[in-house]
Amino acid sequence: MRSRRWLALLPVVLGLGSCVQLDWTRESYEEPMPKDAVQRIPIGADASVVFDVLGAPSGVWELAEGAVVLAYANRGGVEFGISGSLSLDDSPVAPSMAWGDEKIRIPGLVVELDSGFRVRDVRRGTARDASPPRRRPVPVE
Amino acid sequence: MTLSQPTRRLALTVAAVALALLPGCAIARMSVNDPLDAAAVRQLQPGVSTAADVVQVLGAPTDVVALGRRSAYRYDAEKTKIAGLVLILFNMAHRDTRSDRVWVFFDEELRLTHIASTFATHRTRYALPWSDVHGEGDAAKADAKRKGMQP
Repeated sequence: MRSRRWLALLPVVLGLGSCVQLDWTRESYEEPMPKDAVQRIPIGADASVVFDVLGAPSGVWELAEGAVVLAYANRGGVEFGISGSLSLDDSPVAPSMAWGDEKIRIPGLVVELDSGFRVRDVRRGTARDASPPRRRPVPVE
Repeated sequence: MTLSQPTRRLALTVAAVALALLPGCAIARMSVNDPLDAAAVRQLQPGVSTAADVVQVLGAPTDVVALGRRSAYRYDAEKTKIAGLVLILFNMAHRDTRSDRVWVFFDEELRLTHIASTFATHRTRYALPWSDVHGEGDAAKADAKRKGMQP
């Protein structure tokens, strides 16, 4: 009797899948940076110290007067979300909802080198607030 | 060996659930470029090697960046492993990406001044969301298995 009740519920569960979804995702993109990276890169050190501590940068940009920016970033965390939508017959209204608990972070670290390839600044944060300076504008003749 | 009735029922239920979940399993692997050769990169010597030497050892770079009077070449490869379970109501996945990346920096005479390298494509793992597979010591174990990573 009980198994029949469960079987009767099956179409309801299958039907729910078309409008409700639960997602659970873990993402890991690139190696995380050492926690003490900033302490291990003294101002004035040669760029080789940076490469020993952090490896190859994700990006390299040119600054004015021969200076260079090295940018490092990685991404990782867990994301959990529920989303649902419902289409009503003969109605332009299609209500939907989504709730998510996103704990994915993008730690970033930016190192500025002077023209002699020595460290002049190190900044750490999330990628949002540690964005590298813009490229040098193209000179107008 | 004869199983008791409840044990047989339990085994059948477990088998039925496993069979029902099996079509929802998904595994994928994606690669961009071939992994870089760590031993070949070690042949390059700052102050001695030139851009021509670098190209001879590593081939054509992925990117060339002008840095004032200096320049830099980037070489990279990326590997992603995805494992997941796609059910009707509930989906879960683990996506793991690691890269090999080498930056070589040259002075204005195209002589090598600095090398920055990271070799990690071999560290990608299949897993499910509840497990964080990159614990301390895992990287060292994976490095030991990769050819050319030993100094």
